Amino acid sequence: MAKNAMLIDTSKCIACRGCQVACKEWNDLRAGKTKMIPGTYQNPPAIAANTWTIVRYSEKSDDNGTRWLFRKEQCLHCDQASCVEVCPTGAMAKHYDEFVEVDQEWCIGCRYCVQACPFGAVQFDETTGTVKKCTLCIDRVLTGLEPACVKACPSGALSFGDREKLLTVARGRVDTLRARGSGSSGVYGKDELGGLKVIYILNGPPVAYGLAPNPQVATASLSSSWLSGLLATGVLASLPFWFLFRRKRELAAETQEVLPTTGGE
Amino acid sequence: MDEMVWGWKITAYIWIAGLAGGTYMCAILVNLWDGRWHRESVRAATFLTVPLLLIGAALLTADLGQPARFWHLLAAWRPGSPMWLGTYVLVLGSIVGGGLIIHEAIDAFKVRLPGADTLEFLVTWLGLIFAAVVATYVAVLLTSTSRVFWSATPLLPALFVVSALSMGAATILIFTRFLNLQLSERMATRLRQADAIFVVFELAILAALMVTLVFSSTPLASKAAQDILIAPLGPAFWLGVVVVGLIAPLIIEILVERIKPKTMAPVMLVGPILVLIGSLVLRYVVVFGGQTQAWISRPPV
Repeated sequence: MAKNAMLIDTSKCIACRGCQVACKEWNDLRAGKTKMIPGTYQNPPAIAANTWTIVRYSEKSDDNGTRWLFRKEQCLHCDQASCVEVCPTGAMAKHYDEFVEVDQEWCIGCRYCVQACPFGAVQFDETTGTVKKCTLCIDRVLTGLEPACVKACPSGALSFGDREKLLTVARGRVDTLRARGSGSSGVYGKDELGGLKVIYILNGPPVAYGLAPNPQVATASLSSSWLSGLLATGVLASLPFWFLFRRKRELAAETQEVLPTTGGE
Repeated sequence: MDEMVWGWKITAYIWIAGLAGGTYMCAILVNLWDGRWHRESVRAATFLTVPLLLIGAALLTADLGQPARFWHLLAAWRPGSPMWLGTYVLVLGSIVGGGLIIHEAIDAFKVRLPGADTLEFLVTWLGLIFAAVVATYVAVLLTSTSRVFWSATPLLPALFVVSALSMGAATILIFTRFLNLQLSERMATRLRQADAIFVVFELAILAALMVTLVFSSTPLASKAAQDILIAPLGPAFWLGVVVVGLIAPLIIEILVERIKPKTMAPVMLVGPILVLIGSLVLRYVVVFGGQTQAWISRPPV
């Protein structure tokens, strides 16, 4: 379980996207031609190989009217990380038992991790032929600094530090939000996928923010998939042949007929 | 459609893996259940399977972002990753298959080496296991992702396996005909009948898969089913998979049973060829359909 964590308080996020710019600057990620999603200021539209974090805009209507929900999307550095589980070379691995990182020299660009991540946080870079994603600024954190996005956040929506302390802060904030009438507020990431290193305070249900309520590690049903596949092979492959040849043998036995063989049989 | 992470090379590979695995499985299983050894069908399957595996490996390598690093897969120990396991089975299967080709070539010259029978028995069984894993693992690989259509039900491996078997029976019928290998009428009839049964199984599993998706509680699953059943993949699914790949071959098989044309008549190849085309379209629909709905926690924008 991670010792440190990042806390994202969506109720404090003003969607200034300073975190996006800070991430680009610190990690030297090239700018690309982009577009805005009509009706929102979400730009770029999605995480990409050269955009490791974005602020997602979701419009939500309920009894209290219509409001915008903002969520900073990025790699959540899961404790049970699907990308790590499926990686066939071990290039995607956990460092210091906390940070999920890609070894750019060992990655073969098979993109299995891209398909496995439940949050769509890993993306393929056509120019390098490898996958890219948020590193949680491991280079900064290991030298005692906080991630670049946290440093840049002007509204206090992002914080970094001891995971247990941040969880306590998160629970307190959720209590406050609920007292103000937001009954569906909650903490996301405490236990999901073994515990995320990036925890959210959500001011609404996870689905409203585009998050699965109960995400599963991609290999959760691996054994049953193998079992169903190989059982299907055994049963489905054998049944027709058994049926066809049994009928023939019974017929032959009844008529005492010796079947002729031809052509190399 | 949302961005396609895996495209036509992976689609072609999955089809080829099914073709190779299904053909070898069919050839061996027919022999096992019949109780007699039909040398020509086994020989045809062996000569076809190994080159197919090599083409498949080439496609997989070409699809990598860093093809020159292919050896990293072999240098790692990652048995929990279906892709790692499948790659090893492909490599080992190709080596075993290469041995089988040499064996078949020697046998064609009527030369029998000492211990050849025992070796043939062992390698044939080993080949059968490898073929089953090759036909199965591609679907297991797809289910072990966070794409809704691939992971929402456990039916995908069964669908791929039965489709591979159907392709296998069709391929033996076509390949033996083109190579002018003498396949007995009895054997050809049994293979056609088996193919028809596989097609019925495939229809049933496909229907169950779609019904499960439509009524699934997994977020976006019903939307994924809609993408496949209506648009953008509806035409390919209904015309390519259901009509061309399943219904038409089934009707042709029923007509063949009634009319009973000669085994070598060209019309006898229409059904098997349609089965192969339909299986390719099925893999296209599955691979591309799985990627229309972004990720479980990242709906399309």
